[in-house]
Amino acid sequence: MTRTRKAIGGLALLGGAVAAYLTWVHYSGAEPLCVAGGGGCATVQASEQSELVGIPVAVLGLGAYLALFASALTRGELARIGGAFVAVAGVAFSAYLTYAELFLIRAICQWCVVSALIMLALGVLCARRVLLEP
Amino acid sequence: MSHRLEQKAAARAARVAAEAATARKERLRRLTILAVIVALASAAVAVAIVVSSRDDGEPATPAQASALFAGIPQDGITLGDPEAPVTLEEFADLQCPFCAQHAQQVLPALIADYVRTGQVKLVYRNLAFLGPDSEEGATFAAAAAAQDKLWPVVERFYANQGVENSGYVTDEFLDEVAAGVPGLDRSRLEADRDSAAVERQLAAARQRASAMGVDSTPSFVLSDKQGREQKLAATDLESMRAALDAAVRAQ
Repeated sequence: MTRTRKAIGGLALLGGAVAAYLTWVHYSGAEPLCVAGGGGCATVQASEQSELVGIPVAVLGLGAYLALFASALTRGELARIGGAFVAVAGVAFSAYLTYAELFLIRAICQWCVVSALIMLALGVLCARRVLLEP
Repeated sequence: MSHRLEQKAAARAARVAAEAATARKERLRRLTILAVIVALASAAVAVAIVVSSRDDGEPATPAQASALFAGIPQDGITLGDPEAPVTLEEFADLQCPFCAQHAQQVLPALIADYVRTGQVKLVYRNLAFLGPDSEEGATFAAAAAAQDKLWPVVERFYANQGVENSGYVTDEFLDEVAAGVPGLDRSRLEADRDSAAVERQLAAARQRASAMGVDSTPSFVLSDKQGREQKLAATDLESMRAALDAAVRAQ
């Protein structure tokens, strides 16, 4: 297994853990632990943008991270292309969500920022995989 | 002998050139694949976002303000019995979609169960920070307070809320909002929008928000006659009911 694939697998697990926590928060109705306080996480979780076509964003994130983990375990062009598609879509959607947090919801959820950064790193790694993996 | 060596060298050069050409082709192929992935994935996300926001983004059909406020005393920015022991202040921006959602899904039950019964009075703290459309809306709603009609104006504004900062808060839009509020004097309201009272009301809202550490909308602050103040952490119906019940019980 190449170092890029190992890194993708590790980051996907990390992102999956964040998304799993947020999915649990979404369905249990609990208040997310917001590191800096201020209730920003609860506001974001309860906002209109917390769902995409009726599916909670946290669930979408969990699915994306699981798919990326599976792509890291698999060799071949199809896994490279599939992984890159999911990661690039993840980066694009994270960018939209960060915009929404800053300008529409006016509240920042650190969990979402962490997830966006992980997704950005995964996007870079998956693009690298498509371009350079033998 | 030397001829054979030359032949070998030529063959090697040809092989190296062919390999380089293949590698170039492969690089180009992979770059093309990546470009297609980026284009398709971005397009898919854009379509999903547009479809998702269309689901709930349709402005409501213009109508009269609901019977929600009928018979409840209104005074300036306050809704409810002025002697109510508990005060619930709402900090909101008229353009904020979640404020509209909250006003439609959570507030009606609270108004019916706590405000109409005289236990709680509601105070609207009008924050206008999302952009020019917010400011237009804020002076409009604030001026309606002079006619004790701020709450139905806010309700109608939310019901017709458009796409944020798209310039939708035009005179025609405000006419439509005003038309939904029976008894509202539209020309008096227009004149009042530039008044010192409106300016004071909006400045007071900003000061109160900053004093209470309000950093998102909608936010709610619960206070009572004993001077206890509490910023509510959760704004869903159940949590707000629990907080209001506790505050009312403490009186």
